[in-house]
Amino acid sequence: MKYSSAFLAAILALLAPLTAAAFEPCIPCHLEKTPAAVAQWQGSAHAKAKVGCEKCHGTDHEKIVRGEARVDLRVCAPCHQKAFKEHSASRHGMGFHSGWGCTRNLPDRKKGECRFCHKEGDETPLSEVHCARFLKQSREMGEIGCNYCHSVEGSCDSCHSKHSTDLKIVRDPNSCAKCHMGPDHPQWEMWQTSLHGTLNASAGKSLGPDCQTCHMAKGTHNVSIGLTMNSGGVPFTPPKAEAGRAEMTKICSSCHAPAFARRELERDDAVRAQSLAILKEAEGIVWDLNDRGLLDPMPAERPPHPLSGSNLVTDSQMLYEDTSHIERLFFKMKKFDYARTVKGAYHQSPGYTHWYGNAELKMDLVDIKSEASRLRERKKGGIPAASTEEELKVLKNRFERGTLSAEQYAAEKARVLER
Amino acid sequence: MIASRGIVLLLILFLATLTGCAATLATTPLPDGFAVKIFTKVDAGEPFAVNRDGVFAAVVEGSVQIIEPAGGPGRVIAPAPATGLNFSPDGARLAALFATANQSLLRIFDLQGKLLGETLISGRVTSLAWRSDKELLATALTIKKFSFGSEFISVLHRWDTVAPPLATPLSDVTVRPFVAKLPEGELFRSLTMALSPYGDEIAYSALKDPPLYTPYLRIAVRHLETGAERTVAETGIGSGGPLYMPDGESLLTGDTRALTHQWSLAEGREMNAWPTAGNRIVLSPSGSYLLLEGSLYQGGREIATFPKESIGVFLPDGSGLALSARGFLFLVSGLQDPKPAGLSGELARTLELRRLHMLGLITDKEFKARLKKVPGREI
Repeated sequence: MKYSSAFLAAILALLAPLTAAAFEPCIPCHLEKTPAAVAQWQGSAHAKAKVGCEKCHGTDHEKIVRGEARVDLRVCAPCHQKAFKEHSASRHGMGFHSGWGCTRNLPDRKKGECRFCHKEGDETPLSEVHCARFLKQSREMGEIGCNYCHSVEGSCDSCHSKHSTDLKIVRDPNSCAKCHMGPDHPQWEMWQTSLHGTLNASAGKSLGPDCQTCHMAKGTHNVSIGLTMNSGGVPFTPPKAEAGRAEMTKICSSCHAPAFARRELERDDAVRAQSLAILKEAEGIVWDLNDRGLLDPMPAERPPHPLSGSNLVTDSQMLYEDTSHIERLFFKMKKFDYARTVKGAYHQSPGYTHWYGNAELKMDLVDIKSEASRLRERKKGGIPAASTEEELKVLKNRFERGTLSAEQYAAEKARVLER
Repeated sequence: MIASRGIVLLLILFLATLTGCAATLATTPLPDGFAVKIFTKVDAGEPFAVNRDGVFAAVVEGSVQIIEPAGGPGRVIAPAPATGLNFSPDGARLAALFATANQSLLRIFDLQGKLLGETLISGRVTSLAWRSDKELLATALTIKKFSFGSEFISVLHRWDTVAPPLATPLSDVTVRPFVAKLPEGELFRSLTMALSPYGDEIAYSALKDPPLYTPYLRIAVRHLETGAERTVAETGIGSGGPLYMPDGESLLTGDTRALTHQWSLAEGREMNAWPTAGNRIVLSPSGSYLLLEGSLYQGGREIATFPKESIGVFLPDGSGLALSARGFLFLVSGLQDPKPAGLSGELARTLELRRLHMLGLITDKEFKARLKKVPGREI
């Protein structure tokens, strides 16, 4: 009896893939056409739970062939409710299509990409978020250079792969590296060269925490827990920032004394504030030149910004192409060097904080001031000095941008009016 | 007995005849020194104007006529009735407006009736103002009717009397059908314009019809060179004004609650009010007399009343008031309007401050403080 039971179990185990296949009309063909996908599925938790192809892909083969039945977040959500909710509440789930924009009027648009922003048959976009940098790209560049990362909002397979459900994949910081690297936000490199990263490499995860340890603590899909600024490095308002700080301190405290964690993070806050002040100084110079008509070329003299037309843009929709030289310097300063300084500090990376970040940031300011002087000197040669009206417009713009206090604004106006 | 009855009847008939032919202006007792006399016969309800030398232009028997200060028969300069008449500041040119189907014909004549220029303006011209002897401003309103309502398009035309006028949109609003059913005269009165004594800005009214709210008139001032605008007040449809006070620092507007208001432009606050609706507001050259719906005010006091429907114009020298009523033009004399103070202070600096203020580059407070420092000026 004992032997017969064991024999039966062995037979069932051997037959398991075949049994599953028997329920799957797709398998016989796809064993030949996409054997890797079938093999991955056969080894997955989905196969074990008898979640077959049709459960995710549907049964309309024509639609699948046309590429219209891709498996996005909405397909996974009914079964993975907790992960769906956590993901949706996180930066991965919110506005990551900000790397997108409506391509309706672009040449060579790819029809299938509408699904990123529209439900099938619905013209209303899920969000009005557009990305000016995406809209400037060719279709090919947009696909590899933007969408590969910015589709994470709606595609679980951005991290999890398509048919395998092996958690080893997503628990490895390498899975984060494909997007979180490079000149604009090299968190992967920062972590690797930090004490956390080097300990992880030498002594393993128990001593050296990785991305998931701090940003997906206890397996949460909400990767934004504990953050105190937006993805552009702009600090949150106090109530939201305080809540984030409490969360991160708690996470750090699983290894460190809470007081130590708080002290470290407060030091990083100070670095952020100091760096932001440098950035704002440079931004004020660019706007001042714009107010005085000194940018070369001025926004009205170059191809229109995809979202703001002939207006100067230095916010998150700033472009690195079709701008003046000083704006291109500011783009590097803001998007690369400010980000590296601040994120380097929070990731405990001395090299990124100082040499790839802070030093570059300060040298950018030198370059921007120098370029501004050149532009002003050039004007002195050919154009008369600014009128009272022009001076007052410049002051008004500075006040509205917050670079002048009400008192300073009134005093400066009085000075101009007294002339 | 029969004879005495006959005499009484004849007497009654005689008196009745006198009443019918003698044009009289019904008034309350006039202040000491005031006198009324008939100047000439004009077409009732039609426009008239008087220039700095006392020469009148009026619609008489369906034609535009020039009438010398001494009176007497007029000189016909246009055989059709004008819907608007306005003399240039030097008094040598007369702008006359004639309505056609969907357009307005604007003509400039000299005092001898020679045609100096003309232009066609789309829509109905609702206000005329000379900015100088060589530039005329006109506001025109076009109403387009649709099933869901009517579109009111207000345009300012600036005409140098030679080249085609320069058109600037002022307002474009679509109103609900019930608003568009108001009397046509009221609808076209929704756009009125006055030129600032400084000549640098206009004040105008424009119809607004927000859903779920009562339609109203927005009173705005607009700087002519920069296009900068500010809303000064809101008032009911059918209200008179806006009209600048002679110092250019405040505006008069009527309302539908039987009041006429004076608004400070520097501060945006109400400075004064008169207890008359002010559907028609006329101001003497110095600003000391105000004619509101036939009520003549001096300062804040009502000193006489004339027929409500009369149309009035003060004589440019301030000595009298011309009133058109019941087919006659009357002259009310004896007014003691002081000589207008004129625009005080260094004009260039004042105009610069007004421009900066309108552009929002200096605050109301800064504007007032700086105006006080303009050489030769105090406010």
